[in-house]
Amino acid sequence: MHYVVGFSARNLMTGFAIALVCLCSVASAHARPTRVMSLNLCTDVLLLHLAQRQHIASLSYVATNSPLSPITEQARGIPANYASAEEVVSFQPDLVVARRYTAAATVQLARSLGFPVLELDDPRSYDEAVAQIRIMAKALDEEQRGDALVAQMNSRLQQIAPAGSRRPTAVVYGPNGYTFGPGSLLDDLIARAGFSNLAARAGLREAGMLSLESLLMDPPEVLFIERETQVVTSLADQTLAHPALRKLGARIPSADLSSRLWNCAGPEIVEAVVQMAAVRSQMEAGQ
Amino acid sequence: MTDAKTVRWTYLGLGGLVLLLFVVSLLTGRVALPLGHLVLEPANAGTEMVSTILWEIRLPRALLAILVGAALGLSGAALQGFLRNPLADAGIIGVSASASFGAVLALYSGLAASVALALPLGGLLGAGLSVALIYVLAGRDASILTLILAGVAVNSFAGALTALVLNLAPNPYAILEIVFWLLGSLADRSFVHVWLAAPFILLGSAWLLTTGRALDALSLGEDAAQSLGFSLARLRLAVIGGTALCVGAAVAVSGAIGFVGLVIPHLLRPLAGHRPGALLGLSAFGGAALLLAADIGVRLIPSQAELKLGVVTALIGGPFFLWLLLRSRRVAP
Repeated sequence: MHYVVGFSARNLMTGFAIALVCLCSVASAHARPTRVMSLNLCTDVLLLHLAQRQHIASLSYVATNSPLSPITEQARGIPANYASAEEVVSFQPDLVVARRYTAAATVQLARSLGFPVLELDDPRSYDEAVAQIRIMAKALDEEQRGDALVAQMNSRLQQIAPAGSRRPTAVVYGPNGYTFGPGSLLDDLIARAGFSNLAARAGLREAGMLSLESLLMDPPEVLFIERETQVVTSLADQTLAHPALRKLGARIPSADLSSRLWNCAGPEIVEAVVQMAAVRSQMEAGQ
Repeated sequence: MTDAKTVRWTYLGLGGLVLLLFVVSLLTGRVALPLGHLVLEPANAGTEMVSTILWEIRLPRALLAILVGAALGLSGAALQGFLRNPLADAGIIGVSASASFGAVLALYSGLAASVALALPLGGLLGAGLSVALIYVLAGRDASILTLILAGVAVNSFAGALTALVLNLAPNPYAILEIVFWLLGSLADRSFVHVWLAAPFILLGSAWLLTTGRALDALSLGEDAAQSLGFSLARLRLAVIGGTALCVGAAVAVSGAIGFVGLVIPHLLRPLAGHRPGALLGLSAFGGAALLLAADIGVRLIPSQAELKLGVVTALIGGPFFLWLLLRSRRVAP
């Protein structure tokens, strides 16, 4: 969840290497894990898509509890955990999956107590997201499901209209002016939808704030607003309801884009690309 | 005679200062505005955005700085006069924190999403309850120690309730926004907030300004005030009601900004001839000037996320408060 922990600069390859090392020890100990416990929303998402339901011991409470979860419905009925070591012990999982750096203390304790752990990084591109799905599928001994899911994602991506020679600029503007630039998953998704990310032009890397004033002074051709609901129940929501932003949204093509689709690198990211590309096609048809 | 003259000149000086800072505030921001375009090519699409920035982002912000600063300065002067205590200030005695709690309850419960007025009304209710509570706990002429202890209790209790509500709120951003409610900010506010707060602040200010002569009389003692024909009950109602309206509405749109109501009356008291009545209007102007200046300051400091206003006012107010405490100990051991 980007608003809690920003993307830190870290070497992703090392991350994957470590994940693979963990995986080897996991794979050698068990054939197919049947009591898998996930400590983070993003691993919840992958687990739900890849594992058989009866093999999921527990998902993080965020999965059913947060407006940012894309899996609230599917996750209902599966026991929830609050990412504590006590819960790890009580569930006695044969595989713990977690996002690196969240619940780090819990993960360390779980490992020292002898529970096998798979830690995943935040992918920074579609390709890394796909690679991660395969890593997870392998750890779950569900490689066929993994392959099927990836094939489904790829074919959906191929259906969208190809990008023209000229890429219109776009920005995904979030609560408090939060946006994502080069080096982030969203940036890659924006590019795959056929746009050029305005945040890059504004000098933003990975993630950061783009002030409302800067956005108005140097507006994109298409405005995507990261919004889950029109109901304003926080100051962050208020920033997206600002009359000046609404004025800009009325002047150029704009659409809401739920962060549920790309907060985590699950198969939902394809839907984000499809939605953005649809706005581009519409715009190009109008020209 | 000379007193009245000094007051008049002070009004003129402060008024000029507010005007100047108001203009500077309109010219300060993340981007440099090519204002010439507004006159030269008003029909241009880029110019349209320039005017949007000016009128929809910076103007409401500058207006709110004036309104909120005036509300805090004025209520500080009124509280100090009424409680006859130099350390009375909405922030220190917990009125702002309670207003925060009321506003937080209205916003994060979703009430303000269906009824917009719930936001200022929540702030108002919180502020009103806490002024009344402080009055019951410490009362008029309470020792500085009693007042501050009562303030500490109200402050931390209201702060805890605010944190509790934000923790329980379903909105994922809620818990991060505690900083706004504790330290205040005017970043990216809009005319929506001006319209929500202005009527209450103006009403409260008018009410507080009516207490001038009664506060002057009260400075001679309760008996003297009563024998001069001033009703203490009515004065009490005006100070509590006016403060609740001013601080409640101000905090609901800007968060709790500390120290304005403490520092400004102290700085201006000599210029008001040490008359609490004359100090009221002056403190409103002084508060507006201080908050405008602080709000310009947070935009000039180059930080990624804008600094909160309360940080700047506390940097000025914190040392000032300590100095006041030291001095009051020396004067009245």
